[in-house]
Amino acid sequence: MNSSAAAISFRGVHKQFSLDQAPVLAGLDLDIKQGEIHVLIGFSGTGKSVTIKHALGLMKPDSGQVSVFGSEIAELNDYQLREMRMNFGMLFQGVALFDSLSVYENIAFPLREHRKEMSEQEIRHRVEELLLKVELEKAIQKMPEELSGGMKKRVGLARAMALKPKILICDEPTTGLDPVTAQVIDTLIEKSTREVNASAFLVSHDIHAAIRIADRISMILEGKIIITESPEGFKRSQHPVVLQFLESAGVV
Amino acid sequence: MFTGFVGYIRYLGTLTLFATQSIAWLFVRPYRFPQFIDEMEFIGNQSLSIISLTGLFTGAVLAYQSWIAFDIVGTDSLVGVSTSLALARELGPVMTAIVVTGRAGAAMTAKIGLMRVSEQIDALEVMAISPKQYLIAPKIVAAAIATPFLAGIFTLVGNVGGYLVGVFLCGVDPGVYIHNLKSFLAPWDIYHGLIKSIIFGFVIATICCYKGYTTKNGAEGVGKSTNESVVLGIVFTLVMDYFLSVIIPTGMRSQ
Repeated sequence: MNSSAAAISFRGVHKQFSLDQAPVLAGLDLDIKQGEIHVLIGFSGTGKSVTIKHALGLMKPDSGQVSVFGSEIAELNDYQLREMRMNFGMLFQGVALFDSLSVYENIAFPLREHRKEMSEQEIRHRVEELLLKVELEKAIQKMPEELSGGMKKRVGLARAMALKPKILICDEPTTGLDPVTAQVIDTLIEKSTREVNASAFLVSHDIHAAIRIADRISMILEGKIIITESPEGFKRSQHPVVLQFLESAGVV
Repeated sequence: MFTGFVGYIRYLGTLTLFATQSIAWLFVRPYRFPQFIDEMEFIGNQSLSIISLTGLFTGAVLAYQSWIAFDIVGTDSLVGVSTSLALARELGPVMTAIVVTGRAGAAMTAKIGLMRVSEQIDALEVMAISPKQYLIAPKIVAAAIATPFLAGIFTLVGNVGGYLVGVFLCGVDPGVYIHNLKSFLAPWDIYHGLIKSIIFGFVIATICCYKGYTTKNGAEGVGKSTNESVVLGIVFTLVMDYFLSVIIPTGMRSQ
């Protein structure tokens, strides 16, 4: 498998929700390579989460193409889309744990659905292994409402990694967390994806985290990618908007 | 978005499409028996006490009011059959549908709506699980099956209430009460009500699930969807009741 081939590819993607508003995506071009950690940063309301929803097939572009491992999402029927989504693990901004299920049941859920060959004992073993990785083995029987924001994110990450996805997608993984917890989450995301050689596509406005863990960083502005660079290259960028972003975050 | 007559037609089309797509998932593996059983328990079993209570008092008041009217013309022996007919053909299915809408339907909308606004439905989709298969189809099928059973219980308990009031309060002869009921109540009166109940259950669940599934704007949106689903469920029930009463052949009653 060519390691530089795109896991997710956006080509000229346009998306507009209403005619009296500016398009959210205005010709977005972006490649997420296999095995890389790619962070998409940008100001609030610039289309970061919409970009993710296009990658997952939760939204369809008005025009342009979104491909996952070479398959264009718009051409897939419901069943093919379901198969395609088996490649993904997703950590939602609000985590989206099933609030009627315990931590154990939440992580076991995708395993029970898609790994019918696994016995209940094997599922328990896998859940415990995942919880150990995110250092939450003692919370196994807790309900989501009993968890702090950081703990929820860690459970969400464990659930996202349960099926050993080829692509991990994280929507604002550290929003609302204190800096120490945010760093723990970032490190866990990096460790989890590197271990299984998965790709990770994160959207965030946390440039510190992006520089710390990303292989490449892209910045979105008014629905277009204005720069894609390595963290070092990104820091050296002279693009006025990038400079403004870096200065406001105290990076330069 | 939907305005005027065309809007109503479009809305009906959207609901039909939603129900059809959800039901189509019933035939795709994995089959969702555990979810179906859970919904049957929630819609059916947990509604039993409220259905029995409302049924008892509906039958009682119906017997009492009809006795007042029949007594004027000296035909109070018809209290039993009039109560039974009204319960079996109209009040059983309609009142049950209203209770199911208020109790189970509102809960369905609120639960699905909350799952929608907290991205839990997106999470299901991303996990390659169809929310229509996992969440919606079991609720629609369970409601279509549970509602006629509940309507049957409502009618049965209502008849007990009618008998108690008719015989012990209004003084109708118990033998005459039962005799007239047996003579004039035909099996098709009961089938008529049960057929309507199946359709009511199906439509109510479809409306309530659709309202939850399309919820937007956080907690406020969940409240709005729940309110709309209850209002729509009751309005649809009453409007459909008229048309179904006309469509389901009355002539068969004589067979």
